[in-house]
Amino acid sequence: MLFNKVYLGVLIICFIILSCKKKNVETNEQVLSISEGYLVLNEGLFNQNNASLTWYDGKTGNVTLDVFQTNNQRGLGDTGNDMMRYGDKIYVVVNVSSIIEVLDANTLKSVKQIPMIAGNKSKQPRNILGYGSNVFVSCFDGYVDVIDTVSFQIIKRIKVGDNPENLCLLNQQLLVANSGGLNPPQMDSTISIVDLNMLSEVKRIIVGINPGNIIKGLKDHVYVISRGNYNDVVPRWKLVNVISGEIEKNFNENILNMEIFQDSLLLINTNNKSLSLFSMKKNTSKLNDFISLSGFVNLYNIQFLPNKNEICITDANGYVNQGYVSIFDTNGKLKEKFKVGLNPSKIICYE
Amino acid sequence: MKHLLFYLGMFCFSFSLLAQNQKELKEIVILQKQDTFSLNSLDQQITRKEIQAIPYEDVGVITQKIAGISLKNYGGLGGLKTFSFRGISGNHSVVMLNEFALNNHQVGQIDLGGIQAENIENIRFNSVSDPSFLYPVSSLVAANSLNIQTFENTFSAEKYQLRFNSKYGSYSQLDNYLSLKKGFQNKSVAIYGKRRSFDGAYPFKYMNGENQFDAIRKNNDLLEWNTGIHFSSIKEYKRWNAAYHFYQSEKGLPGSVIFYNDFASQRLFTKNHIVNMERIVCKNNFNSKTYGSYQTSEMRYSDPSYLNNKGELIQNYQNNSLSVGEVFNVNWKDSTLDFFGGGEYQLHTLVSQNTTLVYNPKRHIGMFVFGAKIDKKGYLYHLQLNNHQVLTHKIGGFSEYQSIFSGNIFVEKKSVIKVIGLPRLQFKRTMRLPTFGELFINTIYEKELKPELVNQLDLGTSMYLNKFKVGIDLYANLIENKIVAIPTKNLFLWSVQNVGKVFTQGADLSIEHNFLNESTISIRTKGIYSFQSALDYSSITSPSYKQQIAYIPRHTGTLDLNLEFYKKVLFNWSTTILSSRYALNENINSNLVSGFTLSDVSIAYSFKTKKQSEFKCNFSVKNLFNASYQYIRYYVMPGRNYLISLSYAFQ
Repeated sequence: MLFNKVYLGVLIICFIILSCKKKNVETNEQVLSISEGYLVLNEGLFNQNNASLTWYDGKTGNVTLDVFQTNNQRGLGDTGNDMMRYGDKIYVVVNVSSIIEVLDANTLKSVKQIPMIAGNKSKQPRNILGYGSNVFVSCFDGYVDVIDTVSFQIIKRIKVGDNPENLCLLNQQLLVANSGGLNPPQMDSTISIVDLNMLSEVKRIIVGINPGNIIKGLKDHVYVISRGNYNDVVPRWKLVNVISGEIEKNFNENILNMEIFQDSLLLINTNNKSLSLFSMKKNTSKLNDFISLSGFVNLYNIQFLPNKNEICITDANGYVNQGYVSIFDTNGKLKEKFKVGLNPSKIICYE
Repeated sequence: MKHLLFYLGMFCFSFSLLAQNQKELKEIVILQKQDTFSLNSLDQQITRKEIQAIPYEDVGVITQKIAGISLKNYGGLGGLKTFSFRGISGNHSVVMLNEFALNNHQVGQIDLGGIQAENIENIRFNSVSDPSFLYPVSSLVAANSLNIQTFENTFSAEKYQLRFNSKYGSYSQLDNYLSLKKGFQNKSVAIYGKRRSFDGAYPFKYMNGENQFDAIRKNNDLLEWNTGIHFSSIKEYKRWNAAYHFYQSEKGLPGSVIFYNDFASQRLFTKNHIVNMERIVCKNNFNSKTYGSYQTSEMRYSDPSYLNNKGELIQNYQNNSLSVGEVFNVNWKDSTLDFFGGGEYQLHTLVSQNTTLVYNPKRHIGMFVFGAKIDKKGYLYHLQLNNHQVLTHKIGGFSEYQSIFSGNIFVEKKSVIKVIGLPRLQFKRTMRLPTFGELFINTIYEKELKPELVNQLDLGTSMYLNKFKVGIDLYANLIENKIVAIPTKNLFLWSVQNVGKVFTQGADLSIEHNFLNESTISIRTKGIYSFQSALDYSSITSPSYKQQIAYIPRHTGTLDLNLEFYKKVLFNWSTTILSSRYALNENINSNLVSGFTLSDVSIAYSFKTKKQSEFKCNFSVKNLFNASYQYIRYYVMPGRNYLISLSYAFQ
């Protein structure tokens, strides 16, 4: 009987000890100073709230994997889709969280968080571009939002095509790739031309199903990748004359992404293992012979930094692991390689 | 109003039955399953009494009381709940309701959150396929099986039986369950119904960086109906069972907590029909069961926030499954040798509208099992060989045929060895087929996809130590050709491939102590601890190589204390412990999901009348210490909440 009483007493004490868990909520208000280096947007994974900004310090070589959280004591949100520096601000487009995070470019402290909600629906912002006193944000609900860079208020919503994505500037006009990606198999196949003085759409040009990337070419031309329907219509990239609205050239290569590089385009082939160089003047392309892609697991994005003459290539490294950024000079020599967050995409260079 | 009329009707029917005179019944031989030693992690059982003592909400929560099981709980009441056993995903398990397998070939797993628990007589988890149970062939060839035995399915010689349970809980939870069973001379019929509703608007806390935020769960409501009818007939050495079950639910899908955006508005409508029939024959040395089951599940997913031209996404899926089979065991000339075997044919189809599937898949499966059980010189040997014949229809009229063999061997000592107890050893190799969802992802048919294979090795023993019952199992599992979904060219284009390999080592420890003083108090304590090291061996170049796979905790445990006073007052304290897990296979801090300790307490008062009626009143506090916890990252769980339950049982 004594055994049972002792046993019962010990048991109750065990239950109470097991049930009481001390909460350790420590706050860390340290702010990392930003000077020379690279700021990387890591998209993160859908529904995991793990979009992040990685800071690579060019002087020390130190990497701060989530500098946004370090400097703001909170997370960036879910699925960072685009980032740009405009003036002394950094604008980060966070797609699933449906916000634009505006940061002071010198401190990376949040200045303003702009909610992108229409009624009870998320607008799902995708890409961003600055012009004059405004920044323009393509939203998946079929609009381009115009945000005043002083008040950070949305001053106008411009109706464009279905599920707009990438943006580019050409002759004081904003070009918007309308993917229509949420309407398979009847996806959109147009780009919208928005007059930046009137802040309204003035024209649409048919360029091919599911347009994604759009890049300014020479004179009145843009290069567009139409990504096909992921089934029987294969991706193609095209040269489009914006004035005439004509597709002047259809290229047969299966291109995932492209980036302007001096007077050429860097093209990533969809097998992720080949990089081509396309001369916009000569209209000819050749396989890259200066950067080896053999060490990349999942080549994710390519970006040319014109002010430093550097080519940055991001590696998604299996998409569910921390990725890498490799920085090459224009001769293809690897200058830096550092670990970043999940699915690194955009890079801003600090000098 | 509709459900009020439903309950009125049920009540009128029940009391008209009770008012009739009872007649004496002839003695009926009931075919029952034999219980085995309880602390064997290859054959675990949770009884009705244990279930009634805990503040359960569905079968999912109860399965945490099974050693080796890791629950994936995507929310409280009404939330999706699936489980894995020793690092082996739930796709390898067969969930059975009254010994009929529940099928879903679209996702391959059954949502345990949708299975009601009020009528459960016992839950049995088997990793050793014992042929004497006459389980369907599909469960014998699976890695493990979970059988849920309900009150309606148990044959009773009583003329009338009635069960009623009503619950009211936090967040407007309202459950009502009523079941009536009428016994005839050698037949019985049972009818049951349950309605459950819940607004789900519970407060929760979550961490964003270093800050803790408070919020209210939105779009988390639930309304569901369960109803069904059972017929049972016993005549000499034969038993017939037939049953129809209907389930309907409408619920909000709150999803994971998304920082800065709480506008989730997705909804899910489900309607299931199940028709089961079986004929069991137990004659001399020959036992057999012939069975058939037809199941159809309609699912409608709607997303009014979807940004397409229609302004809403509506997707419809209909899963249909037909299975017929025969299973038998026979004793060889009154010897210690038993043979068993069986065959089952299954047909699965999936029809969808407005989805990415451009093809409605169809699959025929033939399953065959043959084995022997030998009881010799104090040892029990069990040998089994399985074969799957699979025919999957592909796009364009082509078909793919596969033939896969598997099997297992099990040895158990039948008498106690000093110090060691009752040792057992099992090796089992099983497989699971790719689901329709994996085969037809993104409109692409994954033609190279092979079955996922599991090899299980277990060495265990059961023993008595002083006044404690103890069960210990050491195990090692190897999962080959693990089916993994990975993005290909970008995050929009996914591919499903056999690239995974997982090696799991671990141990299960169960300890039970019972103190019984008939007149005053009984004390029962039970503790379960599981250690699982489930490591990713997929690719030596991967950052997650030899790291713990996602959502498998290294340590899990439960501790239950039941105190019963004068057989009237029952106090229960139940604690569940989960160590930290990783949300992704890469074991880094940013993927870490905190562990938690969860305590539930309940106190019940019950009394019996002379007319064989029992009333019971139960008050429970769930999450007593208001822990902020998540099983799956950002799928937040409710804080402290309360539940009052009133039950009535006749006979």
